[in-house]
This record gives sequence, structure tokens and C-alpha cells, in this order.
Amino acid sequence: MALTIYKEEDIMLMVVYVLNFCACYYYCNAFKFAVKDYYPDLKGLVTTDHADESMVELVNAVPEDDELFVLMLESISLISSASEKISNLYLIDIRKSINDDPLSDLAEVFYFETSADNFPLDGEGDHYDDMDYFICLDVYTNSLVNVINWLFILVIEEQADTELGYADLDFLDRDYFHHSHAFALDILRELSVHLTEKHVAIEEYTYR
Amino acid sequence: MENEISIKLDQVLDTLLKLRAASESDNKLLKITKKAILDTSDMLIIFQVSPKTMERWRKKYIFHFSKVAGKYYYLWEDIAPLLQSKLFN
Repeated sequence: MALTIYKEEDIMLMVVYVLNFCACYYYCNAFKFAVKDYYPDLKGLVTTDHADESMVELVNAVPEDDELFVLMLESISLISSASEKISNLYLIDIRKSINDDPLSDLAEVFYFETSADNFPLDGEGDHYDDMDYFICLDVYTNSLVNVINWLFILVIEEQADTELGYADLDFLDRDYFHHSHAFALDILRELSVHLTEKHVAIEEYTYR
Repeated sequence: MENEISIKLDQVLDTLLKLRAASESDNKLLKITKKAILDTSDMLIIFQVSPKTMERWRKKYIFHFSKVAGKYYYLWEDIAPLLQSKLFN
């Protein structure tokens, strides 16, 4: 058991941080696909484990008719939009907060513990195997739903034992209408549903 | 001629920036060496790896670490073998 209790005033900022980590690392994984499928000359030459502007530009430059990229980019957009909505709701300016904020470290730990990212790392002898990549993406997109479900629990309980792995889904059926963060919970639940749909679509594409 | 000067100036500026970055990074390392307990951001500087790599190392239990209040901490004696192997490879 490694239950972490968070301060009430930190919860929503934590949620925004975690959502941003989800979007950021999803971009990294989309970039790994982009390098494999569209930029073979960059194999082994570029960093794919952390995002920067050129990475985002290269991912966005992938042909618009690539179904897999459409699904990945739509998922990232859903996550970013949820983060933006919650930021607006709580007047959070993430750009002011991100540097040297200990909460950002906690959020990254939260993200890593609740997600499952098995993609090959830079410098790990990546063989760019199609099937391996698809399996990694399947596992990863499913785990992102888990991250969102854990965030849901975090908002309700103000604590989480993320080392338990998968979130207890009974939580999602709870009535939270009177909860002080009901709007944010609505956004998270909606995101969880949409990401599950995207995960299913990616799975169907992958094993077609 | 003007173009050549401009290229040389760029090179000088580039070198100065690199020197400054190296000295900043040395200062950070120096501060870290004085710490008894390290956190993940220290580890990223010491090993020059991404947070994803660090997470993968934790999952593989490549070294011992402790989690306190949602954050990971490391002791020098626990990371010494890995540090040694990285330095000598």
C-alpha cells in the first residue's frame, strides 16, 4: 500500500498537470509511429522520449488520411481540451506553475504509475516492428483510460493508491452531483468514455 | 565579407552559449553531489536520461528507491553500482 493524500487546494492543479503529461507523452508515442512510418531517415537520430515543438510539427505534418494518426491526434485533442476546460474552470495558468513546482513531479509519478507505456525508448535498440508497436499502442491507449479513472478517484477521495494498478471502476458509478467539483468530474467522466471509444477504434484498426 | 563575419559571430555566440550551458550543468551537478538524498530531477541530471527511462529503471528495480508522499527518493549508495557501470562503459 502506498496511499498518497493530496492537499485539497492542489487537487485540480494536479489533475491539469496529469492531463498535460498524458497529452505530452501521447505525442511522444505518436512521434515514434511517425518516425517509423513517415520519417525513416530520422530513425535513431531524434529524441522521441520527450516532446518539443519540432516533434509536434512533424506529427501534425503526417498525411491527414492516415486513420491511425487521426485516431491518435483526436485522442490527444480530447485530453488537451479537457485540461483546458478544467484550467478555465479553476483559473489555472499551467505556464506559470510548471517550473520547479513539486506538484509537477507528483503528477508525473501519478501518470507513470497509472499508465502503461511499453514503447521502446530512445537508444534501446529500437527495431521499429509494426506488430510490437501496435501492441504497445493498444496497451497504452487502454491505460490512459485508467489514468483518467484514477484522476476521477483522486478528485472524489483527495487521495489515491496508484500502486494498485487498475482503478476501481465502481467509483465511476457513484453519484457526484452534489460534489464541489461536479463539473470537473463530468469532464473527466466524459473524457474517460471518449478515450475508451478511441481505444476500441485503435484496437479495431490494429487487429484488422 | 559581411556574410563571413556574420557566420563567425554566430559560431562565437554558439560556443559562448554552449560554455554557459556546460557551466550551469556543472553547477547543478556540484549542488547535487552535496545532497544526501536525491530526488528524480537530480537523477535525470546525473544519468542524463529522460523521465521515461527513469521510470523504466524503477519498474525494473535497477536500484533501490523509496516513495515518500508521492515522490521518489534515492540514496547515493543505492545508485552507486549503476553510476559506476555507466561511467566505465
